[in-house]
Amino acid sequence: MFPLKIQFKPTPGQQEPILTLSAQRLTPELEALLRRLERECPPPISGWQGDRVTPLEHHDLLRCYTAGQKVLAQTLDGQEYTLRLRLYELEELLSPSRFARISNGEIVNLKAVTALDLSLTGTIQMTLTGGVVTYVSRRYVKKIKQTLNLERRRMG
Amino acid sequence: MNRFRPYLRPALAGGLLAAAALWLLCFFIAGINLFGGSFDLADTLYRMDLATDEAYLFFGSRFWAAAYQVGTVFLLGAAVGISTAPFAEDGPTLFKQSLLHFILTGLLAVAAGWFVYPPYVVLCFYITLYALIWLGRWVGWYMEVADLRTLLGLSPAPSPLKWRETLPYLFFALTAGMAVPLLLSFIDAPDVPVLTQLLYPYMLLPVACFCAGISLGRRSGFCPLFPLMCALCWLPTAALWLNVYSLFQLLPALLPALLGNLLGAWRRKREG
Repeated sequence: MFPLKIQFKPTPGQQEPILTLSAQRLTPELEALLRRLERECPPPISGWQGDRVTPLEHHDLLRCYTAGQKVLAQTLDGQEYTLRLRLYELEELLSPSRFARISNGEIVNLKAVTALDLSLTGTIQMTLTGGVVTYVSRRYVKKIKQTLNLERRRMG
Repeated sequence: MNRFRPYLRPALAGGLLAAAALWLLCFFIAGINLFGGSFDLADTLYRMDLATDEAYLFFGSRFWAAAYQVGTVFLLGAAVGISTAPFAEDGPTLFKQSLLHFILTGLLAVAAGWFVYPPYVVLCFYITLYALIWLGRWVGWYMEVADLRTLLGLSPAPSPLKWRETLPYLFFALTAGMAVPLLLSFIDAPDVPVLTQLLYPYMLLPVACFCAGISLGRRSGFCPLFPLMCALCWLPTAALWLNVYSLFQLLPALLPALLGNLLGAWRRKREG
């Protein structure tokens, strides 16, 4: 670990907190730290409904999925938005402790999973908040388990 | 073509292994000396046959009979070699590919055993083996999903094949399959046993199994073990009263139980 001096400057009138990192130059360690911080406090994602754009907070997202050529996001209140990001870009952007890819075309909010069932034919059915039903690809089960195990270890 | 490339190696390996196994089996059979004496390699190789006499008679040539046997065994081995491929898929694709693989491998198994065993023996053996492999895979997936449920903090999954949910209905199956028929046999007319030979097996029992199936289906969804349990509990009575050699006699318990359970499960799903 590198030496880092942490300071807090109260700024009256400041609406949103800003975290600034001051250094002589951007080293790989500092870059990694910035990336980690960015993941902890991610900027909202822009969701489109026609011409109207809405900032979507990550914790409000239920799932992001591909439908044809489009990438859609469904929020916890059931609203659907079109995203101008690819699914792999979203995967990098969203916190791995909260979101996981469950198939080639879908990322879900793991905190919104209400049921997980295995059918006799081997299909893994996942039910999300609001009764939204989706399917988990077996190829991704191992990865989801790893993510959840890591999260469990992180939480102690 | 690129889609099939990953399967070429396991198919080739499976085919070669199966052909080698056939060769070894034939070598072993040829090497058995019922009348004692020492093992003679040259003599064993000379006496070794890769196909049965029935195959030689059919093809009229030792070469073509052996070629048929080795060819079909090679193809069967290749099909077995790629048997894990359908399991990599998910959803309806998994079911479709598994079904296709099941039918193709079954046809190859019948073709490979055509001159050795009757087709129904080969098919029975094949279906049992396939069902066991499928069950093994399913239990593996069940464990994986159970782990995921724990990690997600969800309530525990239903027991494998819902055996625990089915268990309370064992009392019903025993009563309907054994106890009631036993009681009826005391009151039935000995000369014309209409109650035990006709009314109970073909009317009362099916209705009872159907209703119990609906009840279980509405409570716990589809429980595949329930129809089997009803049929097994009815088996001793059917063997005693009816034709012991006919599996058809199990249908009055098996089919209504299955249909009732499916109907109950459907209603449960519809009612949410």
